[in-house]
Amino acid sequence: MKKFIIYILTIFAISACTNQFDEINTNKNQPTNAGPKFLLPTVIFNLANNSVYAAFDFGEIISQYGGDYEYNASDIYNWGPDSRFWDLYENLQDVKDIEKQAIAKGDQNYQAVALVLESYMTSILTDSYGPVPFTEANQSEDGIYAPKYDSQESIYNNILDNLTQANSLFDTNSSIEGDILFQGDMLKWKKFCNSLHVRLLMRISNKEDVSLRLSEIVSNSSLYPLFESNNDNATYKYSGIFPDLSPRSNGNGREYEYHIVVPSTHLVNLLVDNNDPRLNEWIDPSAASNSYIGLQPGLPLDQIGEPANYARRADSYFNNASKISAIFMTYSELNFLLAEAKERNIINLSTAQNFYNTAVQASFEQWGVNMPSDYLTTTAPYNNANDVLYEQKWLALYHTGVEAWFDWKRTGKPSFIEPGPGAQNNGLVPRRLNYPSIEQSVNNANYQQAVQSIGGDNINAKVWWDNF
Amino acid sequence: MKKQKNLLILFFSLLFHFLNAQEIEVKGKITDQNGQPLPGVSVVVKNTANGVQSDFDGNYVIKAEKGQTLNFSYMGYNPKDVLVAAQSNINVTLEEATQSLKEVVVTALGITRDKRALGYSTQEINSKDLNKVNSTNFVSNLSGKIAGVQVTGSGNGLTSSSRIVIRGESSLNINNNGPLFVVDGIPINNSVYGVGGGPTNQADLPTDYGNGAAEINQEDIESVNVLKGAAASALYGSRAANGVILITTKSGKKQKGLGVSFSSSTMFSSPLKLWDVQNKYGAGSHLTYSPGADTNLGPRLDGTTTVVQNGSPGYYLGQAEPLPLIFRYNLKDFFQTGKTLQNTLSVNGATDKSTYRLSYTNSNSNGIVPNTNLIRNDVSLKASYEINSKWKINSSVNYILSNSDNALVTGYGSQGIMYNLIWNHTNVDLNWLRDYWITKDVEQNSMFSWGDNIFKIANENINAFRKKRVLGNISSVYNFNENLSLLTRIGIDNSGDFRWSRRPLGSSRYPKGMYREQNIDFSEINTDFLLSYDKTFGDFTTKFSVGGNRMDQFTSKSFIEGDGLSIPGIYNLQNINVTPSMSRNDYKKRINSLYSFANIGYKNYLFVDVTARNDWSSTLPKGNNSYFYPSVSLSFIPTSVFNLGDEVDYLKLRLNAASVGNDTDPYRLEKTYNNGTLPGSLTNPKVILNNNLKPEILTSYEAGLEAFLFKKRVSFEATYFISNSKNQIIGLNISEASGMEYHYINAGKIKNQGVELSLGIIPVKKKEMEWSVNANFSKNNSKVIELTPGIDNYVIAKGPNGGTIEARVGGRMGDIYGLGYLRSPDGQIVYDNSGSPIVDTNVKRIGNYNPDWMLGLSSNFSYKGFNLFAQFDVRHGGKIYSMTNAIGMESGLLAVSLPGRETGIVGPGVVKNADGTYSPNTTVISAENWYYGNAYRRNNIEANSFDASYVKLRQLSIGYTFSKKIASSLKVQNLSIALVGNNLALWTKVPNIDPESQALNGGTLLPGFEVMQLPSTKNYGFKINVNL
Repeated sequence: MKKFIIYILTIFAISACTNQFDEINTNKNQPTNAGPKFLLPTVIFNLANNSVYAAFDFGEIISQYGGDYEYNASDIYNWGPDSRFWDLYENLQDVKDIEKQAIAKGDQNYQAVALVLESYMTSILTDSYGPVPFTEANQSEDGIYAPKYDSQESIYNNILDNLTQANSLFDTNSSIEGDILFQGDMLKWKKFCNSLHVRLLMRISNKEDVSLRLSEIVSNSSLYPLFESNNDNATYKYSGIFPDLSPRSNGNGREYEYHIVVPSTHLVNLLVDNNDPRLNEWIDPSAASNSYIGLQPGLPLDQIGEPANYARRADSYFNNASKISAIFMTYSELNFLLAEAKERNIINLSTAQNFYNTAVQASFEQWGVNMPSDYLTTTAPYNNANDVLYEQKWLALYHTGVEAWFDWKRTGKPSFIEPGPGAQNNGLVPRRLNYPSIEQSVNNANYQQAVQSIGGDNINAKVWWDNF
Repeated sequence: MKKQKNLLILFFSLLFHFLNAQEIEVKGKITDQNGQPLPGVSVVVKNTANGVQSDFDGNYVIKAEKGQTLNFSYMGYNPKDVLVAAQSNINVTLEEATQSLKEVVVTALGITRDKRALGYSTQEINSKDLNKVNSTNFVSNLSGKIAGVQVTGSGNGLTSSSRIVIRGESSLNINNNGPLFVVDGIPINNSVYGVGGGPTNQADLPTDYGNGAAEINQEDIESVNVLKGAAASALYGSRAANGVILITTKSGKKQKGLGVSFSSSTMFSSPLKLWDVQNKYGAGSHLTYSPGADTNLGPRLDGTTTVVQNGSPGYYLGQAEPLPLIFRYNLKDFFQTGKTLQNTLSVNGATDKSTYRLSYTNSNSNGIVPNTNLIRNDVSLKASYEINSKWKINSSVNYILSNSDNALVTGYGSQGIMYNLIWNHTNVDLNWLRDYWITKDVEQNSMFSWGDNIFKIANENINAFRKKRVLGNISSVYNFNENLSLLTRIGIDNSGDFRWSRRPLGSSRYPKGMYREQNIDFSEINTDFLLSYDKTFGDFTTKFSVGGNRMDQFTSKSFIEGDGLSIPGIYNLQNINVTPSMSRNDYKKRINSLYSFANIGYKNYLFVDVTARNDWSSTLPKGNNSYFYPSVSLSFIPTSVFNLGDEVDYLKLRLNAASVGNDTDPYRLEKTYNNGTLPGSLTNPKVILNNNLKPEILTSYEAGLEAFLFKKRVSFEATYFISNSKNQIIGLNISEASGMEYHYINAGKIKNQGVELSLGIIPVKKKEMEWSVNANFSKNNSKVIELTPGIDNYVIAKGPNGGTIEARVGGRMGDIYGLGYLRSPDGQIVYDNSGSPIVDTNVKRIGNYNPDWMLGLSSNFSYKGFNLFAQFDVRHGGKIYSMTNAIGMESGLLAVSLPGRETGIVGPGVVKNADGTYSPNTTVISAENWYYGNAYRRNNIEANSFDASYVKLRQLSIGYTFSKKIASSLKVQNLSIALVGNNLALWTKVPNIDPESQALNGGTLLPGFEVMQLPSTKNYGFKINVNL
């Protein structure tokens, strides 16, 4: 009987034994730590994919490089809540993680890289939506689940300061790992940092006087190095080997989605009229008639007809898996910005024409196309009395994220960007994206405040720097 | 030699006789109320393991001591207890229990109890009723048979999962609302393991490989007892919070004849409901023919045009003959008649000390889609052995081998069959598509570059699997004396599921081909003990028990996929020529439990049960990983005390209150990083973990009554319940701008209440003719009382096209939200100046996927050997979003897209004027813009949702059992045949689809959303049963 009781009690004891629980509930499938060298490739790759998606679909349509031949709600401005860039906040989580770890270890280069990427991604967010969370963003691990929205003005002040700080932190004598954008070349990062700074200063130039800050950057190349050639371009080149392919390349994306956007009349006609060899690089003639016919932007769906009657995006960019790149910022764009800055007397360096010529030449080089010898003298010579600067810049910004839209918002150029015959939205070209609908559920108080500050969550509300 | 043996036996029995002077040999004959002998009746000396069975003539012999009680029990008959006095001859007559008078019920932990003593609601289905009609998913067989149990099929082919919910949903985790399945006392796994993404994730549509309990072999089952509420299940722990489906398998019995049974079922299947396709207009747009058009908004199909048609022979070579433009599309050219053959052979028997049953079942099904099948082989062996009068051992082993050479993907995308059928042309003869290769294994003959050929999908886009599963247990009961016994048991559910998928080169989504393998290994081991003390004190019967359980669960999932193949037509790992994506994840979980219960009865008409349980789970944080939950129930039988009139034979009142705790999934306490897309990259997780998680708690209260009236010709049961769940562990959505998507917290207070009614009437009961009617009715309503301070809504699951299933404070569980029409203050739809309805950008409540009430009606009529059985399933209310409807409108294929092709359409409703008033809408909009161009059509959840009420003829069986005379002349014990069918008819207002469709999101079933599911099938055939 005694033995029996002991037996029972032992079973009791075994049942209640929880000392193996820790080991059982330890997740051995995934690591608990991740250093910056593991997080940085994810950030850059996700940013690249986001940029390609944006550039090839929404970016082309809103800046009227092309149009959808079916499901054309975007083209006729039948827009709803839009989360396409809001996903960048998840990317920013990894960036902030890199920054935190870098500061803790005293690693200036990773810290500076994190600041540049954060500024770049935040600029896309605020340029698209207007007020967005910034100071309270990405702090869920500190308990902030519903961050407040900051005004665009304060965001810009912050990110411009961050770029200045980043510039001073870069140590070109050492390198970093996991850098799939610049392969650890800190000088290139520094150039990107400052070139981005130029772009963002010009962005707010209608609202603020940026001449002092801009002049300082452009006139001191040792302190503020800038892009000096296409080799410095901030472009992510996919290797073309799965999974390192763009979402619009064969092997990752579908042909149907690649060709659903058809080149527009603006793009095709401008290139054809100028005998611009970039035409053959970017566009294939129509299947039906082997001719270069563009789609008029914003047509009502039932007037579009068959896609076979229109020119198509070049098949080579789809079929050749390494051809599509994610373009963040180029040497060409930098020069267009400087040309414009000189034209408006914001800076006092060189001449607008020099910058313009460099810019156009750089664009041809970037696309691997030979510029005709008379292009800058006869076809599209610099002339500050007409829109040639803006039209050439528009061409040069092809597939550079949605930069052309931001530029059009600021300048109203190229002026051929207009609502099409089928456009809704009261005949206006939209100027911002609606906030994602889920924000109304999970962050309603702050959402409402932000919406009030811009006069309603509607696509025609102008962001702070957009006073065109 | 024999003589010597006999002498020896005689010697020893005399010896025994002397040694056990008090022990006498009792014998007798057991007969039924008609005087017929009953073989195989279990005769047991109460509270010992000493038992025998009666032989073919109903005779039994057993040794017992004076003062002991003999218990006589036999399935289908009321048990009897007889005290052993001095008599050595005890003859017994057993009364047949009619279906509804089953008095002995198997309850939690496999313990049998008298139904009269139970203070909670249970309902049973016996083997005869369960096996009237065979099906390939055991869970679907339970539909409509039990009040409060809602079973919904999903229309995903032969391996379709069935979702089962008892008494409404109380968990915010959509996959945690199902009951626990227990077979012979051992919990088994009913999970759905997913592969693939959501239903509209076109790059990666999911495949439904079925829910775990689908494999349970109905032919091996003796009875299914559904324990509905928390009280009934407080002894099974957390997973039983939503009820328990208790399955008891058949055991060996002494019987006449060889004990061999053979059962064979042959069923044919065809689609229950097909789309209503329009036959008036052909391919094209604006009434103009175009072979490349997606839509059927082209010219009339009057044969006056003769054109080259997309899909016709030679089209892809540019060599097609022009053909008249007429209506050719017929879904019956694609779907074939399916067939399911199920054969079971079993042998069982018993000796004085042992029982055994061995059975083998083979099930072979071909689906209505060509090249789909499901094969199962099931071997089960169950045995018991009495080591001595104190000690008995039971054991069972069940080995299930299932495989399919092809199961289909489900959802909206080019890999799906229904997608490629709905984006097709009315002038196309589907038979043209049978020749699907342009170049074998390299290029398919597809009508559109963005779609796949339907026959290629069926024959070449394989998703196959091979699953091995072992369910086994060994238990031992040791009786120390007549009061004290110890049960120990170990049980295992172990499965290994190997799945592989392939896509040939040239597939729309995988132009370079694809090959993928997935392995899911699961094992759960339960070890438990129960010590019981049983004693009668005068008028009080008492039983106290104390027990414990350790449950260990281990899951391992591995996955490897390569989206590129070097050599066409070869589908294996070594032929992958791109970097494959691969992963392997292991999950472990352990729960230790201790429990005790007390059952006290007074004079056999008043009973009180009290239970208490404590669990310790490895998934909860150290300080909070223990949770305690008690229950108490009361049962009172007034008819034993008072006379309530001649009409009332039996009345029982019952009451109970219980609570159940619950833990969560493994690995929710410590942050880990996820893999990025590029090799060697990592990324932050999307979820904030919580080190302070507490266990969830469900509390329920139930009151009910059971009655037999009019000489047991009427049986009636009614139950009312309320349950409250709180502290649910959910991943609450947070603003993505915070860097994460959601955050684990304890939240939510959900209240559920409802009523269940069962009524059984036997209007005709004669010697050779009987007719009984049964009805089950249930209605329940839930309310979300609270989520967490500051949060009013929680997205439980995302459906297609922006639809969601949400829990909002003040709303019901199962509410569907999405976009709908913008309406004027008086409720009319508002149109814009192009004549198109405006979609309201404010998300609104569309409806609820749960029915308002459910009714199961069955009728059983028998005359001599004939038997006619029919069961109807009625669901009233509920809503379902049909993506088929939305897309069928866009493509112009369905009849719902006919109005206005030639005249245009004026949408019924109003336009808003500049001054804010409304005037009737008069704008004519072209059919192209109304059907195809209406950009938000599929996202307009309201426009595509329907009242999901339906009535189904669930089961029908017309059978004949041959008389004993004929049977014995054929040298068999029993022979019966039947014509059977299930899912035979559907009455509903939902167009084009079966409202019992569910989309699949990875491994989660999404009720309320139909996303291009396959047609459900009606099945009909015949069945033969013979016992030798």
